[in-house]
Amino acid sequence: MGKPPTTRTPDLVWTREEDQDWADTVRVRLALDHGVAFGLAEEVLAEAHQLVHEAGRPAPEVLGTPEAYASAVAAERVSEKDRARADAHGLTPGEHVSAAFGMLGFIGFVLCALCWIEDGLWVTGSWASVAGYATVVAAVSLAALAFVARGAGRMRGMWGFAAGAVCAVAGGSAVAAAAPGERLFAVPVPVLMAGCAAWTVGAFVFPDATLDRWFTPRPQAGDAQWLTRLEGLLRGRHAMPAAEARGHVREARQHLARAGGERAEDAFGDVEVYAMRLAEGPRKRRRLARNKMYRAVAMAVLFAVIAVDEALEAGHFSGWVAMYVVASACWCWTALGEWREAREPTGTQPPR
Amino acid sequence: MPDAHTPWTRAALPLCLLGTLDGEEKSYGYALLTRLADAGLHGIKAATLYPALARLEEEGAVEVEWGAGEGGPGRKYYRITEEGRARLRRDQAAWGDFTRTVASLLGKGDDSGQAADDTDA
Repeated sequence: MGKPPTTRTPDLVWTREEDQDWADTVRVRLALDHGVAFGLAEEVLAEAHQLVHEAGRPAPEVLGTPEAYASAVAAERVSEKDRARADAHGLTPGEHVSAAFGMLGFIGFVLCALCWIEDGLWVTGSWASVAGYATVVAAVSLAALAFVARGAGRMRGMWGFAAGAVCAVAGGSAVAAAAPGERLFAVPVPVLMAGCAAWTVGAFVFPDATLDRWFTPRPQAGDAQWLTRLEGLLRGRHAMPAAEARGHVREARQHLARAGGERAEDAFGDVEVYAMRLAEGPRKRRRLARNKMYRAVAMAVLFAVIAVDEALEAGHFSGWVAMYVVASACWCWTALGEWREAREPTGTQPPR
Repeated sequence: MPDAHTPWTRAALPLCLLGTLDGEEKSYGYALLTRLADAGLHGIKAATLYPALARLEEEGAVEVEWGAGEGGPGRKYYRITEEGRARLRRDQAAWGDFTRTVASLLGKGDDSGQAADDTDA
């Protein structure tokens, strides 16, 4: 048997196509599901490559499914503390904020580009249009922050941001309707595009650690806050049903009542780590699939409503309407896939 | 038992819990913790015990039943299932094989330390 390549760079050569697919899936799962750093992922794949080469058999046969292998690697090579900070997507709250605001800026950039192509170099604005766009940006930003707060286990924060988004829509709509619609200014589209690009860059450049701190409560002052945070993390970060999460909290409270004076932090340790341990069972995959299904259904409904609104406004089945219908259908298909995943018996696949 | 044994204790905890629950009609977390400590497993903490019980419940090895607490919040009882008993028998056999294998690798009794010293030399 010849000596296998020892490189630990992405150009690692896998002799079989199925091994290459296996390695790609492991790399993606490590990055997306477990937030494993690129260097560690490559190191892990180099070790796997060595094992597969020496065994002379396909990677799935030697090392199991890529999802299970990625989970095992994350469990063994990434500290509990680091894993506990990330949600099911492998992202911390700060990384979610960066991604959401970065995406918002990118979408703005693309819409500006489309506007340039369709309407020309200059766009005009009025108080009404300024209020309308500001409302959209504020509402989308607050809604994104509500999702981030939920993932961070800040349930009150989530409701606060969600209420803020609703208020922004209501207030902004009223202001936009009442504001004068006469032309106020004209601006070249590239200026707006530059603004969107700056927004996007700013979102990704802003330190994630600072954002993480904003979404992490100060060290718990008492057991009540520790238990509240536990419930928030189980429900928000780990997608556990409310009744199940409350059951764990009741059990912890009951333990503390029996332990007589022992603090929750001393008995159960770091709340994020404890929540992750409770949520890592075989039902995790089904819980996450159900959560994704709800989101997919919400997106499908959103695009369907936009399609109907666009069709009514245009008076005919335009290209935009077709695009919204296709988007809605794609989300329906995603929801169906997640529904099937959520109904599969536990244990058929490893928890992701 | 010293803290150095904690990783072993954690690994064997589900088996120990099933073994303990097999001898009782039902039990709850704090009582199980006390039972394990009385048996000599002092390294187990609530932070490890309850996640292990939650996992056993999700795997169908134990079932949960809520009962009245003593003047406090409701108490969560755990009861071993038939699936749990079957798993206990399988894991007991596997544990026996495992300990025999480890013992054979370490050598027997006091000779093990000597053997290791000889090897190092």
